[in-house]
Amino acid sequence: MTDNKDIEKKLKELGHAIGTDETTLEKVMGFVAICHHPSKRRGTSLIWRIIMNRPMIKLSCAAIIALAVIVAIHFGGASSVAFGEVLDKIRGIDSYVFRIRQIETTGPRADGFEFATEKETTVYRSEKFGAMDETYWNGELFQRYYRSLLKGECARICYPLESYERWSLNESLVRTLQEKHPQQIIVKVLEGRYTQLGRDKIGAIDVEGVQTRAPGIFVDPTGYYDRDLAIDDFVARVWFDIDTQMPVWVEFCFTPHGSTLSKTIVMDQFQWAKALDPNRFEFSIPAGFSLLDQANPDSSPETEAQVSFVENTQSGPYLADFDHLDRPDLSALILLGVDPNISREPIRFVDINEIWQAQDQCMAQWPAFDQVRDQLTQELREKLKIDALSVEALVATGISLRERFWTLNGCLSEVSYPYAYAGRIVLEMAHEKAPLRMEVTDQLVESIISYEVLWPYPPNPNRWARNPLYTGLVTELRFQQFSRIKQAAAQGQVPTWKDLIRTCELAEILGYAARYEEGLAITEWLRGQQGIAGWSFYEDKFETTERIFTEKRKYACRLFNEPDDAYPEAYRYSRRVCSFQGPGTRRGGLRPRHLRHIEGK
Amino acid sequence: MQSDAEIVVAVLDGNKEAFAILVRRYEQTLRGIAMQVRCDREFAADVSQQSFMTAYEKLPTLRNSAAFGVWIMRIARRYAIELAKRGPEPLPPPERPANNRSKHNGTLDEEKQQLLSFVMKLPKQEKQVVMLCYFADHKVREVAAITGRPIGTITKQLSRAHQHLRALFEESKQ
Repeated sequence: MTDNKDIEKKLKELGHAIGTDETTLEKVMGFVAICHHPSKRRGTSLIWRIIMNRPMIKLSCAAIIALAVIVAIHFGGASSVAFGEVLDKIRGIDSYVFRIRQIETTGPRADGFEFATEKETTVYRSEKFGAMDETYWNGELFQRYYRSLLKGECARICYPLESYERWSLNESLVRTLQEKHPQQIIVKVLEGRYTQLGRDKIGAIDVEGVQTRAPGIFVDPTGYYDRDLAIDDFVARVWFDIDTQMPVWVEFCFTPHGSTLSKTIVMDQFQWAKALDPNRFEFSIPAGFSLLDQANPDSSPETEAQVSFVENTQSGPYLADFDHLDRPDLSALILLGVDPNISREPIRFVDINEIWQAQDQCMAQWPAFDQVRDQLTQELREKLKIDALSVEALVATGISLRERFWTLNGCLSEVSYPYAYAGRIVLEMAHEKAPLRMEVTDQLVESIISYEVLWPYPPNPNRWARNPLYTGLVTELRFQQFSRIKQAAAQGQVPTWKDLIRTCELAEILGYAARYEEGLAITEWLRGQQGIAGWSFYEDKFETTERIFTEKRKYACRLFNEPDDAYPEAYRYSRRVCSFQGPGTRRGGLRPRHLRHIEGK
Repeated sequence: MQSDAEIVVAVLDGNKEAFAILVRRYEQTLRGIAMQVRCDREFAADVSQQSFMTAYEKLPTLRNSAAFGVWIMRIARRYAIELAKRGPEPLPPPERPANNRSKHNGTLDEEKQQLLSFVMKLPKQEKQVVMLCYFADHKVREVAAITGRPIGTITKQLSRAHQHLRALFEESKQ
C-alpha cells in the first residue's frame, strides 16, 4: 500500500465492511422522544450551586480566575474574539487591501471530466478613491480593473491583449462599489444571526469563526453575479485572528439556483487600514494599447425593417436548416482503424489554460487532415457509399459524423478526429454538388471550425499565430457566400440575419488576416444595407469597425460583443469565430454570438 | 448541509428531530471506534446506541458545539473500553442481513482490522475527517460544512492522514 488512491480504496472498503445498523437510529430517537429536552441551563446548575455555596471554594475560585487572567494577559494567551469591538473597528476603516479567490467546479461529470476554475485577484480599496483590482494569471499581470470615484469612470486594462476599455461609473456601479466588499459583508454577518464555529488554525494563526446561512448576507464582491442571484446551499464563514481580533478569512460557498457548478469565494490576506497611494487608482494605460468599444447595441426595434429583422432571428437556431432530416446512426462506425472506446482516468482541469492546453495536446497527436484525407475518403466510399448519396443525405451524414466527434469529447480526445475529418470530407462533397446553397456551405464551415481552433495556447502577443485554415479556406467559403449575398441584394432581395452572420464573420477573419482594405469594404457594405435589412442596431459598431480597419489596427475587430456561454462551455468552445455552434445539444437554444443580445442571452 | 454546531444549537433550542442527523452522520464512525476495541457487530451497535444516548443527555455540557464530532467519538471510545471490560468476548453472532450493509458476518478481516487500528492512531481531527469521508461517505465540501472548518483545512487534514497511514503501513512491514 503506497499511494493515496490505494489507501482511499481500502478506507472505503473498511467503511463498507463496518456497515450500519438500522435499529440504532430507531432506538436512539425513541430514547430522545421520551427524554427531557436538554437545555443549556439544565444539568450543570445544581451541582455548581452546591459547590459555590461554600465560602472557601468561592474564594479559591476567585483566586484561580484572577491568576488565570494574569497569566493570560502576561502570555497574550487565547482570548476569545469580542465581536462587538470588531464591528466598531471594521466600521471605522476607510482603506484596505485583500486577496480574493474564486473557485468553481462542475464536480466529476459523466464524460469523465471535471472542470474547475480558480481566479485570484488583489483588491486595493479606498472610500475616497474607489477600487483597483489586479489579477495575475500564471504569474503574469493579466488585468487591472479601476473604478475611480474621483474621475467617475471605470477602466479595464487587459495586458496579454494589449487593450483597454473605459466607461463611466454610474449610480449602480457606485452602489456596488460601496456595498460589495468584505468590510460590508463582515458587518452584515456580525449584525445578523450567526453560529459560532469555535477555534481553529489558518496557517500559523489561531482563529475563531462564525458562520451564517442567511442568503441575505450574500453580496458578490467580484461583481460577477447578479445582485438578486437565486442561490442554494449558501454558507458564509468569517474567521478572526484571536490575537489581533481582526478578520483574516471570509468565505462564501453556494450553488447558483439551477446550476451544477458549486462556487466558493474566499477573501484573505487582509491589510486593514492600509494607507494607499492615490496614484494606485490612476489609470496607467501603457502606450500602444488599443481602446476597445465594449458597449452592446441598443436592441429595441423601431423601424419596420428592424422589427422584421428581430422576428427573423427568433425563427430558429442557426444551422437548423437540416434538422428535419433523419440522420444515420454511426455509433458503430470505425474509421482509420482508430478505436474510439478508450478508457482513462477522470481528468480535472483547472482554469481555461488547462482546458486549452489539453485541447492543443490532443490535437497535436492527431495526424494532419491532408495526411489521412485519401484513406478516409476511400473508407467512407466503402462503408457509407457516399458517392451515391444526395446532397441532403450527405449533409445528414456530415452532421452525424460531426456529432460523433463531439460525443467522443471533441478536441479533448485523442481518438475523435477521424469523425471530424470525415464530416468535413462529406460536407465538401455536398458543397461541390450544391455550391450555391448557402446553408450547405454553413454546415461545411461549422465542420471545419469544430476541430480547428483559431490560435494556439499560450498566445504570443507579439506574433499572433492565426490558423491558416481560417484565413484560407474558411475565408474563401465566406467570400463565395458574400458575393452571392451582395448580388442578391443588388437585385432587390433583403439580406437575412444569417447573411449578417456570414458577412460579419468574413470581416472578422479578414481582420485576423490583416486584409484591412477588404474588411473595410465589407463593413461599409453592411452599413449601407442596414436600413433595408433592419440591422441598424449595429451602426455604432460598424463605424468603430470601419475605423479599426482604416487605422489598420493590430488586433482585429469583433463586430459585436456577446455574453459568454455558461462555464465551462465558455472555455471549452472558445478560440473560434462567432458563427460557431458546437454540439447539437448546445446549439438548441443558442443564437450565434453576435445576435444573443437581442434575446438578452 | 448543516454543520454539527448548527444542529447542536437546534437540538438545544428544542428541535429533538435534528438529533437524527447527527446519528446518521456519526453512526458508522462510532461503530468503527467500537469495532477497533472489539470486532463484533452486536457490540458495535450497543456502543454506538449508548454513546448517542449519553451524548444527547449531556449535550448541554458541550461547551464548543462545533466540537461535537470529536466529543462523541471520545464518549464512544470510553464506553467501548468500559463495556469490553465487563465481559469476555462472545462467540460471533448469527448474520443480520437486514441490518447490515456489509456482507461480512460479525468480524473484519485481518487487513481491515489493521487499517482500523491505524485510523484510530490518527490525531483526533484527522481521524474525524477520515471517518466522515470514507466511513460515512461525505464529500470534502460536506465535511467542511459539518465540522465548520475551511475546505482547505479539510483537504490538508486528509492529506496528512494519508501520509500518516502510509507511514504506519510502512512501519508495520518492517
